[in-house]
Amino acid sequence: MSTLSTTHHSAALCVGRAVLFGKQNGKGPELTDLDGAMESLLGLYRRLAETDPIFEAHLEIAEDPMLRDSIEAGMAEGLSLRDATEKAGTEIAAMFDGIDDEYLRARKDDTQDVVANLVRIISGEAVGTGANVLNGRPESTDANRRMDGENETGGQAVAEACKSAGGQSAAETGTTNLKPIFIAGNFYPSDLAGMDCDRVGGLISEGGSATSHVCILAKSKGIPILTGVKGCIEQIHDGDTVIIDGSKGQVIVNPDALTLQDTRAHISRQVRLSPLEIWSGMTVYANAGSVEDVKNAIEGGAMGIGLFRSEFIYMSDTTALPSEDKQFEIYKEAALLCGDKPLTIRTLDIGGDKPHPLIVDTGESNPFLGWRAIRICLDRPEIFRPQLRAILRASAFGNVRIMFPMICTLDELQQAKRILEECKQELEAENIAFNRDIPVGMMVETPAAALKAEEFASQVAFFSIGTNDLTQYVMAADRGNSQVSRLYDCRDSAVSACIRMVTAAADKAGIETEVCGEMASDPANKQHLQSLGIREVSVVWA
Amino acid sequence: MATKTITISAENGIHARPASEFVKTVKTLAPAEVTLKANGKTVKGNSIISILSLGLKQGTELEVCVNGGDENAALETLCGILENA
Repeated sequence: MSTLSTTHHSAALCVGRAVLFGKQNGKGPELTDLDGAMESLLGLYRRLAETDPIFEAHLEIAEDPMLRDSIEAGMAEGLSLRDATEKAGTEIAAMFDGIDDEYLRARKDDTQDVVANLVRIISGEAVGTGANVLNGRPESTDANRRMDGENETGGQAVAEACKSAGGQSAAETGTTNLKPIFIAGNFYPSDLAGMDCDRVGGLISEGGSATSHVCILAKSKGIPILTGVKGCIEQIHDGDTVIIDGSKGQVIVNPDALTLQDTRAHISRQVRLSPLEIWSGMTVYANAGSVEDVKNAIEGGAMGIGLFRSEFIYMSDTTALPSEDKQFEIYKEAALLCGDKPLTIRTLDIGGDKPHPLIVDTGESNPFLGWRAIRICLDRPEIFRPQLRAILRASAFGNVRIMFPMICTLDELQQAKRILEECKQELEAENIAFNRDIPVGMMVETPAAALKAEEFASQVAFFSIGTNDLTQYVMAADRGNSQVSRLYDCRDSAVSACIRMVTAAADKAGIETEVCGEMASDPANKQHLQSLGIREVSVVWA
Repeated sequence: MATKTITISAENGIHARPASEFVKTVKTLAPAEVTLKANGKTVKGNSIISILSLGLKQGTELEVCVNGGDENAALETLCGILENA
């Protein structure tokens, strides 16, 4: 038993069998022909791009004449193809160093993904999706050809390889059916294509940062990953039993029976709690951005939808606004899925960080304090009315509630309700069914709304606190700006005071207050929210 | 030669996907040459690596230049991709 450490930490906790990534079944001869290597590289990314459009950009990088020029320049200086390619990779990486935007600087990783695969191809190593790497076959061999034409998918190939990875020497250590844990210098996004958490036990890399794109990708796939593990390539061998304990930043190689048993027990206690369990004792609604989200949440036991973001219907087509009928069909489907449970549809909330090309003039110098959400809707009733009519029509098919965003003044709320009333009268005149008593609520996301909660409480059926915007407006701190992130604190006492004002006013008027912002996505805030009088949350359902 | 200066409005800036779309379009315009100038650097419009290395975040001023072919139409198309990214 030996232990390797890293300063990086993660939530990973798993046991698996080590597989050195890309090194299986030996290597082919090193290539010296740039054209041939490039052809293989393009083939690889063409296949990847077919399955996931994210790799379109990688394909474009692979085709970039600059990459080729840079390699040829190195070869003209007398470097080998491999060395020239590595040098080109270093030069390209350096081009990104001066970029002051973290997200754009990280596009360097996409270029390094491509260069790393080119180096692997030149070195005669296997490349490609997790699938053909697992099969240990270099590019343009059986595994890839099979993937090209016939019906074998990368996933099935992974499964086969995983079976064999679990087989050997399992009896000796009592570790049958272990999933493979891949060990590599670095992982790149293209390496993760074709991998999923059912088939891959975990990933350990010597390089890489804990915040890299590949870590995010691995987490989104539910694959445990630990980066920065120095010496992992030399000290872990194919077939070793490996424990990744990300919370301690440790990898344990060939653990003794007791350690293995402890880890197993620990893993089995790590059962994932559902939002209903996390927020037990409260009313737990779900946030939804699509009918699909509604379906998942309701099937998962959500007590209703506390926030149905209608923006997505508008953002899914930026060339035309959605018609009343199109919206009605979507809301109706969501309402039917919810049945008796409430479906709270928030009217169009665009502007701010969500501009719409057909509605919002992006020339504003301060969009969060500008023309957004209800402000746009009241100024542009021709946009607002079709949505209100669609929501009203859907109310005949379920327990639909309507919610207005970004309310600051009583006048705004009354104007919105007046337009809603006019829409009701139109529908009545047209003999179209709807729920005349549809509950009307409002978002509390501005200090103005919180300070006047008492005035508003008698005018609405419920409050919903959007803690993201409320925090940024109370603290005057842009939530997207990392330089002021220390100010952006949803638990600051000023934010708490606002929430308390809202719950106090709501209690007095006998209406409910839910919290639908990110504050309610962190279980650590449960007690705090309850102490502020919150009994309802609306959370991302996962 | 036609040039136009635009300001990047996309929240995440010109990242991999819009840059890829841009380069694809530039390739269809050949033999016209496209260059981009921003942050004191000038790069070729057919190189996605170079474009990404400009770090075109929201608010960056960018000069797009087309040389050859139907320059004005090409310029409109290309600026459209960047402005609607």
